[in-house]
Amino acid sequence: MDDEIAALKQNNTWRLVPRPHNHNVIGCRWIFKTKLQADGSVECHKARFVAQGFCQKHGIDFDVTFSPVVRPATVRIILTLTVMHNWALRQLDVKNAFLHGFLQEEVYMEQPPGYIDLEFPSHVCCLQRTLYGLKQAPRA
Amino acid sequence: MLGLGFLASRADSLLFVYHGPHGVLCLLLYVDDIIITGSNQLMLRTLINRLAQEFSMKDLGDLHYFLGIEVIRNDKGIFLSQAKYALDLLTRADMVDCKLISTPFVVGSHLTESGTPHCDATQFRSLAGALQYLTLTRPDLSYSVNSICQYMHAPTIDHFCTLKRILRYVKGTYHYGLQLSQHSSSTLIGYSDADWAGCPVTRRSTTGYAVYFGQSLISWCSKKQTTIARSSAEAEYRALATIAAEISWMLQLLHELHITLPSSPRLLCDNTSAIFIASNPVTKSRSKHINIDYHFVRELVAGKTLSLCFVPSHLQLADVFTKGVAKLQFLLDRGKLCVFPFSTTTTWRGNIRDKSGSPNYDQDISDTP
Repeated sequence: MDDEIAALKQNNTWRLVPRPHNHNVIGCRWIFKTKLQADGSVECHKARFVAQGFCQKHGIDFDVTFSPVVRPATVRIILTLTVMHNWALRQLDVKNAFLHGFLQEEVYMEQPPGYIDLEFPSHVCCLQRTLYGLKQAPRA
Repeated sequence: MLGLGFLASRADSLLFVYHGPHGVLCLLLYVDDIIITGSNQLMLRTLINRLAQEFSMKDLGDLHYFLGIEVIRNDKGIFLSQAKYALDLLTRADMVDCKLISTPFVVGSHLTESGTPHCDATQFRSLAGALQYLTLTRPDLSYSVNSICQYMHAPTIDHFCTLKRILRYVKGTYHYGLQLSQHSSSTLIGYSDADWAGCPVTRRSTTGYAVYFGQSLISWCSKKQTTIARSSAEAEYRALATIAAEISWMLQLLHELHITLPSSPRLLCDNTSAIFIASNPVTKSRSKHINIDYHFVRELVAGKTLSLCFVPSHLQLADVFTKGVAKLQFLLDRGKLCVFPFSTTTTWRGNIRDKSGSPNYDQDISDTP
């Protein structure tokens, strides 16, 4: 949980602002998942902080949604070229991938439960980066 | 990405290509998964280091597992398998102990909309969707899965029985996967076929095609046409237009990778009339209504971007994408579609471009695991 908050803070995911009156403020929550290894033993406990994107209204909080997805035929062509020329093939995994995207729309969210700012408890978060659960998230 | 000198491909915006003096690098992006390949080991390592500085990421080493697809190197090249996904799917459908069957679809049968509605439509949709994902490495399932997916909105008991038959077939062949072959020439060959007025209700035809890059099957399709064809030649001609569009897309992609083909791609079709329409700029009374955008294929043939050839029906590889075929033919075609059971030393003695008339397929075509 602390790791996740640290990653969010490091990325400047949001800034605290006074609660806007003419704007929709979406909720948020923690999701806890226990990752198991193949043999059933606990690998790690995972905490993911998500925004409740279903509270967002079309046209106000978001306009277009899409995911960057590569065509399967492209993958097969590249893999065929790879074996034909005997190239090396490597795989990378981006951590907190969604947090790399910037938000174009103004989206306000409640403060994360358990991590409410002591100085400004009634402020809300004005999101600057995309967050899991947002309609805009996969677009990043 | 662009800052590192990469160019986003116009053919697929999630493919990034870098051409340097010492080689070429390709990067494929799938939301947060990245595959990198390239001709130069050193460049590859430099790229990974530079990316690691930019984003926090984990280097997973050599590619083994991508989007639920296992990538296994064997002596023939790369083997793509969704065995684990198939087994999980069977568990989900509660069909682990079902009886096996050798083909996924009943020969000559066609699904219709009428029938008693299936009580659990959500389950049907979820399983049909899961089967659709399985077709990523299983072209042999393409036609049967496509036919049930046409009834996602209102599944009946009949549709559910068809779905169960596919699952029974999957159970016997869960360890099968797609083999990409390393010993192949870089030629593109497309097989196109259509089943004229196959659907008894709407009288629409089904397009089927298969595109090979060398000996590896890289793209295929089984799809009901959007308009009604008045003749079999028209249906075949529309199928040709679909595959021509796919091949021109591939040509663009290969061009961006600076890959030159030794010869122009060949399109094989088993209908002489359709070949005639595509090669001759004359309009006959029977073909005058075919829409202009379908004449796109005529232009490509005239400009020598594509060459069209006739293939006799018994050597037609796209047939399995347009109808349910009989067991023996199906098992033979499955091998030609590069779908093989997994083993570290896959025995593959056939040659898909063997035009001698008798494909020498002697691999195991039995239907039990």
